Amino acid sequence: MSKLQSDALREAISGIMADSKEKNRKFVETIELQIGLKNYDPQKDKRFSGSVKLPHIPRPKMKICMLGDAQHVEEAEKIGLDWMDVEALKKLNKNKKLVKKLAKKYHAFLASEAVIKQIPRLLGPGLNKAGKFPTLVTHQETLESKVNESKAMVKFQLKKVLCMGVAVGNVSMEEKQIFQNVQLSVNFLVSLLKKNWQNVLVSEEYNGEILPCLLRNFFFNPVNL
Amino acid sequence: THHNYQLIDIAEDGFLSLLTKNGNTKDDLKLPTDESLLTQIKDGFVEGKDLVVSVMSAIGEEQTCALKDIGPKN
Repeated sequence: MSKLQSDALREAISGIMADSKEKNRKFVETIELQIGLKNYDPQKDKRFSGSVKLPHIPRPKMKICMLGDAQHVEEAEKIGLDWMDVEALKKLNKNKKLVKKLAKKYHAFLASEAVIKQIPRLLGPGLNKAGKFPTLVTHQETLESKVNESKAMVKFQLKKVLCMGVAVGNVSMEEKQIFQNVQLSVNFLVSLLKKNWQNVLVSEEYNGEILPCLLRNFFFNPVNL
Repeated sequence: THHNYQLIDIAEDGFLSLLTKNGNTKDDLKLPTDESLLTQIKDGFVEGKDLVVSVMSAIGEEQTCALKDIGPKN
């Protein structure tokens, strides 16, 4: 049973939309869901990881780069997707600064089967440290469909911090769409937790501000896309 | 059961980042308690070697039990 109160959630989303119209930005603001966990010890408890595909793409302008073999590079060129082949990756010479710069340039990476195995050797741990280790793309699926799937995916992964944040929408979306994305994200995360809703941190205050009452702890930050 | 995973990274908090066969990352495995294996993994990683770790799992517990260098031989 979902403990996320629909009315409170709708109210919070409406509040965000109203605020975004009040302070008009020169970019499309992303709406981020932040959730705190409790009764979890990241050192002792089993670390969970899971991805869910949202019904509506939260960040349509997400920049993706294909680290591909010859076939995928050709496909990437056709659809206007940025790409790098093994030769280009070799040129980075495992340089930490260059790998960090590459990681900053894109929101996510895709990689061919032949290339993904070489990432640790060619680039070192830089992409993984940035939380942007590539997603595998096989030749059985089209690159375009994989790009759209990547844009709609959000990943919840417990590492050493008990606060999770994922993009769930943007202010150009309909409120109903944001609602659907939030509901799915929250319920999916809760399904990964060992004690479900009992592991969700309920706090009424954050940085001295009262949060929108989404189970009194789900709150949103408009952040730069 | 027994699985081999390619080593991607060693986090500051002592957890390994491993690459699974289906291209996902596995981040829930701690460094082994065995001193010599621990040293081998850490040293090999610092040297930039291409390492594969063998992981044994039984009754819901997992433990790194061996290490293999799969890098190109010079």
